[in-house]
Amino acid sequence: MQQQTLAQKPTLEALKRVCAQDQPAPHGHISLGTEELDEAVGGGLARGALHDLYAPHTTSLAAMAGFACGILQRSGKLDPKPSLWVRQHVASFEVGRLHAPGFTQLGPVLDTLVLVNTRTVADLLAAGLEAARCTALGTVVLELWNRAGELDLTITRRLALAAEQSGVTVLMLQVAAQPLPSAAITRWQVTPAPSRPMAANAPGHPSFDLTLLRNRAGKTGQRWRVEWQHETGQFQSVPSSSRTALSRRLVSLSGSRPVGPPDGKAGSYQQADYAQALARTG
Amino acid sequence: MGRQAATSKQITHRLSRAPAKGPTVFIEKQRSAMRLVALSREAVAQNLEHGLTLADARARVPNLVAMERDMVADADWLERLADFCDRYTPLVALDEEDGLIMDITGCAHLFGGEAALREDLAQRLTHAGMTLVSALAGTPDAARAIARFGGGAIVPAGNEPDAAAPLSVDALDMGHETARALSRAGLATLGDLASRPRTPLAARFGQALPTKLARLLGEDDISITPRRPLPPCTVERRFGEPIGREEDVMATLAHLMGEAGSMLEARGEGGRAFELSLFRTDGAVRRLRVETSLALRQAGPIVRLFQDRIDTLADPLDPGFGYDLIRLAVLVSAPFEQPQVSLDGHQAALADIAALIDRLTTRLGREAVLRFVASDTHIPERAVYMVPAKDYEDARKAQGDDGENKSWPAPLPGDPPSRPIHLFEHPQPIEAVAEIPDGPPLKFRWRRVLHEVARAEGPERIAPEWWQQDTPLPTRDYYRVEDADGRRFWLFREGLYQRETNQPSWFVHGVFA
Repeated sequence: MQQQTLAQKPTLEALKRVCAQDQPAPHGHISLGTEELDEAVGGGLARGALHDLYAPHTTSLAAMAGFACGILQRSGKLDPKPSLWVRQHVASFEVGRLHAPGFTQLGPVLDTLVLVNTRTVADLLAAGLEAARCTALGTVVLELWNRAGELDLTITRRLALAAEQSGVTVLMLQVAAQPLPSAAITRWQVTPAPSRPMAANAPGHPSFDLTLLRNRAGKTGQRWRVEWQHETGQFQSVPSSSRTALSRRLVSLSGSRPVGPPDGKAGSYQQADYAQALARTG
Repeated sequence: MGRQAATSKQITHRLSRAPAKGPTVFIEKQRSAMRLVALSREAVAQNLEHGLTLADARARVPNLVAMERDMVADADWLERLADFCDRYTPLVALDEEDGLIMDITGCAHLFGGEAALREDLAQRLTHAGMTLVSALAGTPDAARAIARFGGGAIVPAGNEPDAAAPLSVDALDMGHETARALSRAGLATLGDLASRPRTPLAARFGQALPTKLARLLGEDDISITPRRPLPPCTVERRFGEPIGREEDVMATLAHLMGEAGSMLEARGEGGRAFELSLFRTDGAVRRLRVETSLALRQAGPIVRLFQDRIDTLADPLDPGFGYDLIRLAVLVSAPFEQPQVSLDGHQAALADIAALIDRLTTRLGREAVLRFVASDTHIPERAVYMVPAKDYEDARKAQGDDGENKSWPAPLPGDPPSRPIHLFEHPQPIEAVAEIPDGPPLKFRWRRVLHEVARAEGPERIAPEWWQQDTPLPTRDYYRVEDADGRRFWLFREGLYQRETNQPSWFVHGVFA
């Protein structure tokens, strides 16, 4: 009886561990600039933690990188520490290298960014782990190209632990058919979205479709469309009403066909049909 | 005046296990015949000479074993012997293809005196299979002459004229004609020449002769050009019993680094490049090198960097029978900056980042850890160049800007970014349909996928730098396009329609966020 009680009696270390697990974000949050996003993840992206950015196709890699740039800039405003971006050589051949002018125009300061190019995924993860342990860094971005089975729960767990202890925010960008199990606090699916046009039908500010796939601070499954404003440094949510209904080019009617019938009925039927077509594509 | 040792070797090759069937010689094609260039002792005993043709030599000694001389292997072997001699002194120079000159000023006492050093060297090299002749003198030329032409000796300081006197005038190395002329004049040895006035010699044979004579007699001293520059700081440890385990090597390294650190501290400097030399008992030397971004002198970080370097060696360390000498050299030193305790811990953070960059560079290579530096050009693919993180500060200083990056093109306020985040090194060709002469594309096909363009902006004309090229490259008109799915690309048309080409080609250069 005495021994049983001793075994069940919690030690101080065990209690501390349990409390730390429940404590949401010991290092604070990076707010994304929009209230709905911040609320959904409990105040913003937690600092000193591992976050996953996931995309189903390689064409979305640039959008993920742009989203990561936005996070870098917001994190830099909170705490101006240097950041590290780790890529693989293969990525430069497939999707192109990181272009510094484009980077600065999206927001982050390049003076304090260090780029690491590795040959293999193992090197990339080792470099990421090393960087996650360095307290002097602010954010570490790992761009995984070809996982080949080297990423698993253990490695992500180690990354998350290292980030917690040092206060470094780690963003892991991966392109895959299915997201792998990982110890990240949040997982976002990022894909490029049509932007709100500028004058003369010019492409507008970078817009992304975000889906929250995993969230330790609340529910998952929400979707947002956000636009990155690099001057104010905020992700602005784009409500569905202001999204352009038509995402395809209009095919102009030929001049010889009557635009509308002389009497009202057939004309209105045509217009209703058109409206239905709009609703389907928009 | 230093003490010099010169060794002259006849390279005898260790042949196969079976004993040689006859005297061994090495041959080389000279003056359109195969001639003897190196002879073994038995061959010399059979009255064979240098320069004899192989046919003549075979006629005299039928059972001659002749092998082709391999100059590359010989040079490599000499380099390894020079590496081995590094244990005595850091100043070792190669002397032609079969000799070494070592400057042992100030090193001899570590080995129990000059005679003991010479004895040790002779013993080790003989054990390695070499036959050598060595001489010690006050100047390098005197030592060399006594070794090559005088049979080798230790010449006490100041005794060079007496030691060089009996050498023949061949030691001057002035060529066959001069030697013959001198012998016809009755001057057979250097002693004869020494007693003569120098000016008539200069008049008859040129100024080179008296200069060389002065050097051989020890009147002129020159310094040798060592193979490797002398490092500012060196610490070493010798072992009576050779050690082989890696833990022992690292412990020794930590100890050596501590000593080097106190030496650097006395000078107020830190080290930026360190080299660890491991000398094996059989003569092989392995060197490992580590660099840092900040000047350091504490043992901990340096030992960790060396451990990283050893862990990532492609060719693992092989101690053989053990190391009997471990040396740590500080190759590059720089003034050490005392870390000021600033209110916001900024300096400590900088040091942390520098240490992380050092570790990543040691593990992944110098070109793997990079930072961005702006370049003064508007051509997109050259607008930025990447500099290894270690050289970042130097590159920025060289550019001459005062702490601010040169500006890249910035978009107008309220406008989206005008440059893509991903840029292809080589623009990828696409098929595009566009209005002529300079309308944006309506649709394009890239990597077998058809993209319908929903929005487009452009053209932004980027002309090539005409001042850089002789033949003008075509102008590029860049367009920012967005397709129906929301992906944004940076396309360009190469060549102005009808002004430069009738068939402009389209490329995708980058992808926007």
